[in-house]
Amino acid sequence: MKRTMKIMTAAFLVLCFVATTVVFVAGQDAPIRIGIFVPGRLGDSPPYDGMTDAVEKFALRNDTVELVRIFEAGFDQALWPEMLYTFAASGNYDVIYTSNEALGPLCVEVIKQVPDVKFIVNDSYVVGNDRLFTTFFNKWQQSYLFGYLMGLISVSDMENVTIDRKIGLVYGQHYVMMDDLIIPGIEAGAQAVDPAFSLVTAMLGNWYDAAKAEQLANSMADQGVDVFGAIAGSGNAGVLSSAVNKGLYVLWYDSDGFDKAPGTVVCSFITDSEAATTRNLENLVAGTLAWGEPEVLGAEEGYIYVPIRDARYVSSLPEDIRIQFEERYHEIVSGELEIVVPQEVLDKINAAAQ
Amino acid sequence: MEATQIQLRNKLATLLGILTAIVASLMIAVALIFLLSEDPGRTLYFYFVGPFTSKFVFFNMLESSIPIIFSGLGIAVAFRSGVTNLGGEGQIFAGAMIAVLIGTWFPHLPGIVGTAFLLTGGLVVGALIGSVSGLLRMKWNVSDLLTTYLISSGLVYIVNYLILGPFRDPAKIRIQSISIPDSYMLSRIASPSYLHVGIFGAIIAALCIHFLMKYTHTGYHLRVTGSNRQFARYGGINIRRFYVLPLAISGGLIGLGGAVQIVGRYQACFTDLTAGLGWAGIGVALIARRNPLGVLPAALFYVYLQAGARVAMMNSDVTYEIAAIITSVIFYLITAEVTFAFFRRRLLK
Repeated sequence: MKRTMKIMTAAFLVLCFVATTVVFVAGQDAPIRIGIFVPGRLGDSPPYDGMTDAVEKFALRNDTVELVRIFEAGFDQALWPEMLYTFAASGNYDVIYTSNEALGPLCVEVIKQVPDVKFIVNDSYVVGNDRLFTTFFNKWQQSYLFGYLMGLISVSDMENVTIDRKIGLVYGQHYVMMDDLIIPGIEAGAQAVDPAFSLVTAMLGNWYDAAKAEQLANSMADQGVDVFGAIAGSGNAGVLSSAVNKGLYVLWYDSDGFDKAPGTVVCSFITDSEAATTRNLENLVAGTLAWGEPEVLGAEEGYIYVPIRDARYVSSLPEDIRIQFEERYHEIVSGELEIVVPQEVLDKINAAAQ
Repeated sequence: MEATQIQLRNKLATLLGILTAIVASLMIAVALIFLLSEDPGRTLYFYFVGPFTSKFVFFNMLESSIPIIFSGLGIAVAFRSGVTNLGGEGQIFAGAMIAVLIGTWFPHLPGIVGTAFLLTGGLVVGALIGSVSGLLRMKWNVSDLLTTYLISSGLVYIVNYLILGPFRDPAKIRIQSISIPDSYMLSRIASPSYLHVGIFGAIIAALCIHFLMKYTHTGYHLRVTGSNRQFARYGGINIRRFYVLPLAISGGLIGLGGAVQIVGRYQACFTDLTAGLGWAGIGVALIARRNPLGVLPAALFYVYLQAGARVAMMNSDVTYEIAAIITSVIFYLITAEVTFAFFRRRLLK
């Protein structure tokens, strides 16, 4: 009897050992399953396109990560919470990667109900949640540079510029980043060239209506606007069309837009969300991602940049404008001129998640 | 053939028509999935079984049928009464917005009174919007098809402007209006899903409209006018009145659906919150063959397809575009007259 008990105990211990080893080995080999939640649609949306491209490429290069699914949730913000919850609760993902300032707070809500899944969010800022990492880009800095170059062009001798000290921005909708960083940032940049500058803004009301965007840009041009910014998704095409027809200028925001209309798009201000996403994934795999501790990335770190060596930029702008602009750009990149995101804006986004 | 027999065979033809259309459209959907998906087995599973695999998804699917039942009922009443209401999009959005406005203007009413007030607001606003088209038709013979659509298109812009502008809640990260008080919200039935007691309201509304149309004097007049206006006129019915009344009832029901969205689920208005629900109502009314009671299963079928598409998008390689194509094909076939005509010819020969 005793002997039988001993054999059974030994067998049980061996089984436990084997099972633990199998689980350990399997756990070690199992890749991190990632799902991408796009709060909109891909294409014509640099933050989402950059994030998705980066995760796709990273998953192709690394066996440690498996991109399970890319889900486009559409533009209806009212449905995002339900969709995010359903997506996270499916059990298919270890980490969900997404982007948008509103998604940080939504992820916090979902975290309360869905165990185990972690979230990485670009363009948001949430402190203190150990299953959420957020990366925020310094849009204040990017917009300042954007406005500064708009101002330089508008006071230059370039063809068709007016004497009106007016620059224009057509944007999709209001949101915190737009209202508190981009619009005031562009205005501050232009006024650094000449305090008399005013920024004429027009909200499209959606992210796709190019015909309406063209009408808005035409009406701005009639008011004396000679340089445009467009942050309106597919609506940007309308602004471009207006500027091309009237011989005016467009600066491109967030991605490389030179080839959209050569000679009309004279500069691009790029947010490298692809590089930031890749770095976050590297940290995730290495186990060094600082969960709960958001970061703010800007020109100093190289995540916001202007391609000043690009031939299309050089050929589009006169030398005197480029020299003046690059001086200011280098001041910012080197940290000599500090343009930081106002803490109250970060607090506002973070507060929505608490 | 006796009249009752004809009636019975007519109903049988309709039923067979619907069933055949559903089976045919589902077969085409399956074929499309095999054609467009790399893993058709998985896609089929999630498309057709997915909505029932989780309580959260299932109850949310039921919840999403509530506004569609209201808009379907509104459209069914209009079609049955011989008028056209293509303004559901604006009516439902305006109903939702007015509920938000009333809720924020009168925040201290007792809970149930406040809720009733908000719902009444949605109903009245929807009815008023519908009545305008009815009046234009009655007074100047302006096509209700055009006016309902045009008024609705303008309203969508106005409501979006109100949400983005004067009534936006600046404290919220998502773009939304100010919120109504918690006390005005309807009770949830199956948390954490969004299903609320408004589902019973939608069922009761369908029963009421069925009763109105089938067993009341007004309903009889609406139906007769809808079947043949000249016949109704010779029968002594004041047919001019029956341009305004059906559009008022139709708009009212749709506006009520918008208000229910606010007190049942969202608490605030988002831009384009109800986008598509007005058009969905037309599809649902057509599937239901303009029968108010038929709107209930038709709305459930509609939201089942929507939920299936969403679950499939989340769990298989189906993209938004493929899901939209499949859903559209199913709808085209179900609303097509050909199957009904076929069975009617066979059974009534």
